[in-house]
Amino acid sequence: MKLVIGHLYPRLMNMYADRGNVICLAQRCRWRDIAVEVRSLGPGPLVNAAELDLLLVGGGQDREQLLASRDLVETKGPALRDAIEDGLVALAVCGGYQLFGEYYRDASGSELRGIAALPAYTLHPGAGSHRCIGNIVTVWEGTKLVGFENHGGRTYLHEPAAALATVVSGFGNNGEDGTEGARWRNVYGTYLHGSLLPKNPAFADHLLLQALQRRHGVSSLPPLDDDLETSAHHRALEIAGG
Amino acid sequence: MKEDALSRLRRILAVQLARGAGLFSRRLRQGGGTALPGLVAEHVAPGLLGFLLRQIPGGTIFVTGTNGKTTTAALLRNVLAADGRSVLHNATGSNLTRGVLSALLAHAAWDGRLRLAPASIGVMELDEAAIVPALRQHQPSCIVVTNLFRDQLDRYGEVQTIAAGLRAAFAELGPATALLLNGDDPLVASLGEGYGGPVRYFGVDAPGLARADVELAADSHYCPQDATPLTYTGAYYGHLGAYACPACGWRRPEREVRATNVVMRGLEGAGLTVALPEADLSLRLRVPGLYNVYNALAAVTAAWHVGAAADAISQGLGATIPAFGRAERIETGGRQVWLLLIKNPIGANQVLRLLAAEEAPLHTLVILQDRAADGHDVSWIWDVDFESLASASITTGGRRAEDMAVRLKYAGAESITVMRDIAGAFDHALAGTPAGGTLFILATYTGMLAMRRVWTERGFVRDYWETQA
Repeated sequence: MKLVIGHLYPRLMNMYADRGNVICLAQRCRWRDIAVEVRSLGPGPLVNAAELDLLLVGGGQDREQLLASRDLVETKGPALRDAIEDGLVALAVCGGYQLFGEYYRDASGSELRGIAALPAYTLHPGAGSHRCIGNIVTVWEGTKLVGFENHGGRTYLHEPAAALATVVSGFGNNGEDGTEGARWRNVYGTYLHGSLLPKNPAFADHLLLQALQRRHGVSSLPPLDDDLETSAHHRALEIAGG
Repeated sequence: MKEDALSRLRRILAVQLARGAGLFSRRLRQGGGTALPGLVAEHVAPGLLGFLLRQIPGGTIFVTGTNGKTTTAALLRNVLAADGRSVLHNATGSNLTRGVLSALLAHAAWDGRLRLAPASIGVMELDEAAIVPALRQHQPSCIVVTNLFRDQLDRYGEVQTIAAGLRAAFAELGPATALLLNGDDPLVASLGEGYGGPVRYFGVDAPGLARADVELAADSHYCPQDATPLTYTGAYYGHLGAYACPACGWRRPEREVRATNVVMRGLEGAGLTVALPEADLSLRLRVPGLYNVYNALAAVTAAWHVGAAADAISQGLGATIPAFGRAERIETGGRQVWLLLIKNPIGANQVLRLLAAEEAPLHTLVILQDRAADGHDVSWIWDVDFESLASASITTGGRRAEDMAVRLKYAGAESITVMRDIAGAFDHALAGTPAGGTLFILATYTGMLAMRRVWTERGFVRDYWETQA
């Protein structure tokens, strides 16, 4: 049994160390004796998209996000959309989340196109507005998620997207409606860094299981010793609580 | 500009209040009074910084950049002192406006007039954000920019935004201010383009130490002109190296000051030859790592720019030991202990590279904090190549000890103990280090200060505000 993880734009979109999510998923496979291959997917055509089991993308700086947007929409667009419609499991964080939505309108009003894998759009409320920065706690299907958010854009969802989680403390998608992240098909978007997955092992395993189920029909994962992960999770809850 | 009576009164009041605050802060042992007096003065008399700096007869050198400010300023201070100058310097790494003010106020009379020797010169370290308002009050003789890496993003914003802020501030300066720039850093080098005054570049020529491509944690490896990814014929660390844009041909500028014959001597330091237009200097450094070779080059460039003698340069550099907590060594209980500051992925990877040259198995204590001076977001540890510590015996400490432990677990480490309390973590890590062995402590900024506080209480070291003359 083997899992193929695509790491989208490991250099372009590497600002908030979201590669921790890739490291986490790869290790949690290895610890279960599941072979894993990580493919770096930089700018250029997306080849062998059907071989991908999981796709991860992180946040970048504005300039890098512009380059990524062009490549994502124009070069990778059709192949990536097909893979997503076919059920590819994807996790897009922060800037990556914005690019997986329909568009991002920046502070000056100009629009960056997204790939529309998520029915969501992002607006920057203008140069004078505050950034959404700080520790954040949300609830996803009854389980708490902890992380750190740092974004200027406000994301709004529409049908048929569902929020990934509800905000307990922090800003989330837009600081207004109490939602955080988005889910549509098997694509997940979120603003949580930290990195997200190492401190939220239940969510990490949820993504893994979904990908393994799709390819190999696996119905459950053997448990791992998550003592350290759980203590980091609890510590983050403690700190976010004041 | 003539000062009105009210401004004069505010200035005098600011000086008096600042003095009181300094005494108060020292008495409470809340730090050496290194920032509080300045903080008070800044609020009472907003123009005070310019008023004080204008009085320094030899002018002032500003040192800024993401990494290496404190060490560069310390190296430069020692060179200029060896050159017979009397140096005013914010030595404790308090690099906001208030830190500079505090350093200057220590020399001020009751009315804010500085009592200075005729050969006085200022060396002031300012962080990338604080230098912008400081430049509105004073035009220094030169500005050294060490590098621009991503650092503590929740505080400073993106590195491109920082560069844009510096570029705008530099555009307001007159031709009397020279820019001394790291030519190997594309973003820093681009600050010299179109600048109205003199620009001097420094950089390293050490093909043996270069890697083929930039490391993954690097940023800004894009052409500042057209955002095309730069190609490197050699990358030293981060995005520093020999770069060119394949699209527009923009490339690394000619560098007047270059390091050649670089020989790394692990944690003990490095040797190098600095090629200046008129002479080659053979130098020995007691600060370790390639990152400190860059810091030394920055200091040499500034010293050369202000006319320091060659002898003074080699003497001053050779006399400089790492700034507090940057690579500080103590001995206790028959063991050697190194304290190494880590504050962002690029710097941390450099420190790990130093440790890779040490004898395995390593005994380490890694302290992770998330206070304002560390950056509230601890995500950055996932960009650090901690995989090189996989076989080490590790204790993690600090407010985010658990996060650090998880990072190290995923890096492949198997021997990890979590102890949030820093004194306790130190004792545990030291007890786990065999007699005659070495313990390496990697700590974020406030973790490093906390570790030193423990050492001070135990009499291993002096308070940091007393370590530098």
